[in-house]
Amino acid sequence: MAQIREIIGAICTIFNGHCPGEISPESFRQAKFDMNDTTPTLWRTLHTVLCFNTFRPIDSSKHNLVNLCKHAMFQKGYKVTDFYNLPEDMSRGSRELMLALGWLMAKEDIISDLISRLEPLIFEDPPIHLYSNDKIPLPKTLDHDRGCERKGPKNPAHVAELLKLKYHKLSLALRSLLASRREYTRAICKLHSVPKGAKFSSSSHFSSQDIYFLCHPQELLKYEERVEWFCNYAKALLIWVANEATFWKWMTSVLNAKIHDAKQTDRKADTSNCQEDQLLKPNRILQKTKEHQVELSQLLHLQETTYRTISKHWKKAKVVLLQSCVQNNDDLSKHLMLLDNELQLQMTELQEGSINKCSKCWTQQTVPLCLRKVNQDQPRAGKASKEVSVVSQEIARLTKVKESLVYKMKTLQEKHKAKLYQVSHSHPNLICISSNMRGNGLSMADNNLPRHLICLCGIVVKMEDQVRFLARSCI
Amino acid sequence: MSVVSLQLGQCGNQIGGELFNLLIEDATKLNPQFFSKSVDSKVNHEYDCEVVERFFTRDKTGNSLNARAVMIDMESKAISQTLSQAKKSGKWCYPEGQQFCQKRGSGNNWAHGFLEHGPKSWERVLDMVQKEVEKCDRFCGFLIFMSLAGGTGSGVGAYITGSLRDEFPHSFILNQVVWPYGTGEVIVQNYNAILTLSHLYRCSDGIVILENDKLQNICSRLMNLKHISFKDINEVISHKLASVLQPVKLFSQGRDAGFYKHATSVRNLLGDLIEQVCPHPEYKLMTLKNIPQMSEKSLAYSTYTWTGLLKHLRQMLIADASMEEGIDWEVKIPVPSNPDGEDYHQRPGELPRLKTRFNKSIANLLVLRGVDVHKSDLASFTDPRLNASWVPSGCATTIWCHPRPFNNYEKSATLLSNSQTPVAPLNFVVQKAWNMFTSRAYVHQYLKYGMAEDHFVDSFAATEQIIKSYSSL
Amino acid sequence: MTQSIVVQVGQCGNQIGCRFWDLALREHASTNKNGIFDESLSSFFRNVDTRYKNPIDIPLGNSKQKIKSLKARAVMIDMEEGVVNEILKGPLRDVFDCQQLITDVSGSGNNWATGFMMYGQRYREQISEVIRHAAELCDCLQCFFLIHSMGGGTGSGLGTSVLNLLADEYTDVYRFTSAVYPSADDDVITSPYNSVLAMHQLTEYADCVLPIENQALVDICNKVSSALPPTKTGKKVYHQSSQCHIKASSAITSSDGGVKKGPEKPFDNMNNIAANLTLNMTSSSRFEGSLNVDLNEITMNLVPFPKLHYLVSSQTPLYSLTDVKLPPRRLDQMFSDAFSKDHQLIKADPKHSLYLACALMLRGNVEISDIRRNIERLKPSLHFIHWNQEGWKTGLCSVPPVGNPYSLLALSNNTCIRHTFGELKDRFMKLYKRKAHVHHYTHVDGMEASQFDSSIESLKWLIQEYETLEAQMGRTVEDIPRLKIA
Repeated sequence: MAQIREIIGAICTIFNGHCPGEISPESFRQAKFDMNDTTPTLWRTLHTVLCFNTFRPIDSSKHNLVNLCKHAMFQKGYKVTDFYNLPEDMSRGSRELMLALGWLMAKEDIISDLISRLEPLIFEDPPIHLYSNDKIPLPKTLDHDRGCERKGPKNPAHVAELLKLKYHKLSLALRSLLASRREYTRAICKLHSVPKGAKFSSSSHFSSQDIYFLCHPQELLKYEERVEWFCNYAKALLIWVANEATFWKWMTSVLNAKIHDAKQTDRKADTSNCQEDQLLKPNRILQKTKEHQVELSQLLHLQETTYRTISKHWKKAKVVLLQSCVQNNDDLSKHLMLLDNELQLQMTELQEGSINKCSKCWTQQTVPLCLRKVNQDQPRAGKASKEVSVVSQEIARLTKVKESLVYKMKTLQEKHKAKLYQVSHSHPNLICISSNMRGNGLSMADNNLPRHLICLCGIVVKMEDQVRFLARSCI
Repeated sequence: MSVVSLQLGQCGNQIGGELFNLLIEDATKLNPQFFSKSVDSKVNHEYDCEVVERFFTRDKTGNSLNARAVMIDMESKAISQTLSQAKKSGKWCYPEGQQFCQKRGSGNNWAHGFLEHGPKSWERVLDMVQKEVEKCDRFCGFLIFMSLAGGTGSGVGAYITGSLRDEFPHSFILNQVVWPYGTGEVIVQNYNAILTLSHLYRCSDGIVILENDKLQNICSRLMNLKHISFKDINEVISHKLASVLQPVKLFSQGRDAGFYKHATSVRNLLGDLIEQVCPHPEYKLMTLKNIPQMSEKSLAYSTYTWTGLLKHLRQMLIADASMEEGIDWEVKIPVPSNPDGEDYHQRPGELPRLKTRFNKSIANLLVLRGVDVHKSDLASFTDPRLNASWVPSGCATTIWCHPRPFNNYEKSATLLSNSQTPVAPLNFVVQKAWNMFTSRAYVHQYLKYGMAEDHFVDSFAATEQIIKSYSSL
Repeated sequence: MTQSIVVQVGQCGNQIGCRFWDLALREHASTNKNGIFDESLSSFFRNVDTRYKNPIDIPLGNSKQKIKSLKARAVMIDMEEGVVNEILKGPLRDVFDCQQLITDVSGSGNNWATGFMMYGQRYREQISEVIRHAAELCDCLQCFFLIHSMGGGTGSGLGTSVLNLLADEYTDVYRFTSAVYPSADDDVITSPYNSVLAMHQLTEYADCVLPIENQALVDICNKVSSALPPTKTGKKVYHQSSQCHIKASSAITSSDGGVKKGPEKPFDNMNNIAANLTLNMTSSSRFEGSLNVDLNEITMNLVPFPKLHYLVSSQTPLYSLTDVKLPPRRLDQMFSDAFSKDHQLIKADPKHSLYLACALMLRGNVEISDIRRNIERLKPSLHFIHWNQEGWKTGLCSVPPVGNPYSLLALSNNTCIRHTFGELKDRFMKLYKRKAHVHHYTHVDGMEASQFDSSIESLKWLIQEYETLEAQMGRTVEDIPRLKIA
């Protein structure tokens, strides 16, 4: 656990580099246990982190800050309702905030972003702010006439002149800038030509920075402080990079703590809720999926036996059917004829009902269709005749079996779908925690989950195929 | 930031020498009566350093000052004269080996200068210029002194300005040209002038015009000189130029004297000057008006207030007067309710006759130097009606100042203005040149050096365009 | 600094040339006190070390060398030996050396054809060689000054032949010709022929011609001598009040202070005037000043159309007063005189003719404001062509001429010259109508009768050109409208 303390310390250093003096490892510890004292700190930290890339004005009022953060988080796609339910007065919810922060850090990959933005502080030229000399007067810029521009010339020719003037002025200003640049280069060049004492073997010349600090000892102290800070900051980043996994493990524990708390507080809630709660835990999901898998395989096993019996029956039935079919072929055709006539009669009756001439055409077309239907309904037609008893009974039975199987499968499918839905619904909540983190425990689950789902889907599809095949074979 | 000067031809070399003399004279000498709280030895020292940095280099010993200048003439006399005069001053001299001269002058022939001497000299001149530029730690641009009338100043000057533009595309180039006397000093001056001007307009960033006629008037009426020599005229020119080119600070209304003591000077003087005064590529002509100007004798007995000076200067601007004497006080800026009377449609190239028309500007740069500069009220110069209607008021008037008195004047104000002032002399010159051209007089002298008549026509068209642009403000 | 070579041809040319070198030495001696061979000296002289058998040039260096021995950048050509021999015996002998000489014994017999065709052909190689030698000794040769007469045979014939040669071999070197025109009552009967034939060459090949009329020189001499204290002539025509003391040495005709001692020759006064013309014209390119005028600027400014390069010149003051103070009236008088009829070097009145252009070259203690003031003052009385109303070229040289605090040389391209040419034409036609003496010319090898016709055509054309221009005087010509910008 010493490692986790170190890395949390590192994170605090990193955040403090941008929002000084706000967050401490203690805040993290407290947040894990959902202590309320640290909530405002976390809100502010969250705000800072959210504002890394944008320059949002910091509104000091709690209300605004909270809403701002919630808004920003929503925009980023955070969908945990608990977070949005947090009160605006920052009175509670430190753990929820911690989780949100964790999510944000993972989602936006803030730390690596910060690393990429890291610029070396030690280089030849002193940073520009060292030069800042408010005594140097700046010439009037075009900004000055922004005011009168509004009431500027209306005449297009005048506008053209004005534009020409502005363009030329800009190009002249650019030339001044270039002159300054040249001047600067010359100055650097001159400085470099001053040989450095033999003591320093690293470089053979003074840098402009060296000169500057030689002239301004106070600035050197300030600069030293800055460099020191920078070192700490860089060190913190380094620790983070090395021990990221530990942090996420810790974060998982925070998450678990939350879920645990949620279970305890919502004990009275119904099982589905409980299940859902459990489902929220990735490990559980894994377990659950595995259970499902077992269930399904059992089901499959069961189906297989039924299938075997069905096929046995089917083989028998087929032989019998064939025989009877040959026997009853003539009768059947007769019956069919009768049936056809009957049908035709019925049709004509129906036709008579419709006076439209055009409909005749339609009936003529439908007749063979009907016939085909009738043909298809052969077993049923057979059923209609009293002579097809055994086969029809068997078929009926098989059909029933099939129907029950289909129904069973459908329910199973629906159930599964529901679960899938549950899983997918709760997915952003869980999957987020490690969305693009590399090589930590959660991501395993994360990565596996869809794979399992695909697996499941595959099984279901297979099952469907089998059932369909069965059904066909029944026919 | 440092400025490299190019002195071209006799006129350019004389003016350059005079200007450097004045710059260093002004920087090193300050009348003790002007020492005050806001102008103490520190301010003085800063001023001195800035002047030296901008226009001079110190040699290795650090004692003697070398002007950042390249001298170019096609004959040696003017250069050697200027060199010896600089040496005589004992305070500064020209850098060694930075003089380029040929043996034969350009003979007032622009084509000879532009087409023959220019290309022949360019390589060596470029070497010298490079060398001079490399001496600058902070180089910002070129200042070119030349006349419009002669052959060397104008022809070689135009060629070298164009070539410098190619070689240093990002540097600022400010040309100072001396406008010839209306009644000639060189007969082909009008040809030379329009040829030069049309070429400069293409490659220069700004052209400061100084008219010999007006300068002579200043000498005779303000300086009370009986026999006016070129030296006197050049002194007036250098006074005008130096009053702008010496160190300045950005003026901000309502500051106290202490503010200017600590304020940093305008760094990129040349660049800022051009950016402020010549912001539009079609308007590059500038004129200088300054006040007060008088002989040294009367200087001791006169005193001025800022209000009075600025009132005069403003009227000089709108009435287009070259000096404080004989200003037409009847010229007024029309009130907005009746902005343009019947005289709105004036012919291009013609200055408005009616008093309601005044000298309109593109942009103005006001430089104030001297005691109590912070107390001056500049509201009258920021009036947007002074300028063409499309010029954004924010960048029309720039004000620079320095609490240190300049050239022994307790208070002095200079206005570098990009206004309609040059239209009248330009129009005059074009008319003369056109008359001559339609008679084909002297044209053969130009064609001799490989110029085509089209070249003339192009230049006429370019100058007519300038006149039109300015007079349609 | 550029150099110039003086080519003096014929008797008249050599006499004027002789005076020129004398005065040039005087001038440099008065400005160059410390005996340093400087740039201004180098324009007309060489500094040679005569210790060697073949004297070698001492290079100008950085203008620090002492003067050893000055040699004139001159080429002397005559087809008689008299004048040249006299010069070589005279005090100026050290300035020339025999390499610069080309002489013959027989003379040209006042025949242009003999000079131009015969001697021109015969001596072409030799002349070319001598000139090349002189040119090689120049660092940057800018100008040839030809001095010759128009009436005689050698001056006009061989002189213009040399001009031809120069135009051929030194295309980018300017050719200024000081041509002395014969008086109407010239004793040489064929002088109109010679002048017209020579003028054809001048019109074609010279860059700039400064015609000098004998009669004008005589008149000026008379004027000066009448004002001078009555030492020789005893005539006292001019008012000679007590406060008006004239410095004899300041007169334009004087050669006081020159190397030459002893009695003055009869033509020396006149020749001094012609010699001063070249000196004053080159002063601004030799000495420093606040407004230099190089020699090429003269042609550039004064020749508006090709071939119309005949300049009327006048020099003032003719003499100066002993009074040291310079009342501006005197200065202004100098300007006024320069435009008066009797100060011109040809017998013509520029004031009543049309000015195409005018150059004012001032020396000495004069400022630009003086020039401006006088230009403004004189302008109303002068007629300038409509396209060149401000046709003034001004020059300021700070070194004054010897004996004067200041001086003015006015060069103008004025249509009044057509009268001189007109008279010449008339005299030519008078002879040519009768074909008098033509055979003397056609006898000479290479000379054809058509030369006469083409020459007189050329002169007629020239007169016509000037007349056309003068016709524009006072007329307001409608301007071609200027370019319009859409």
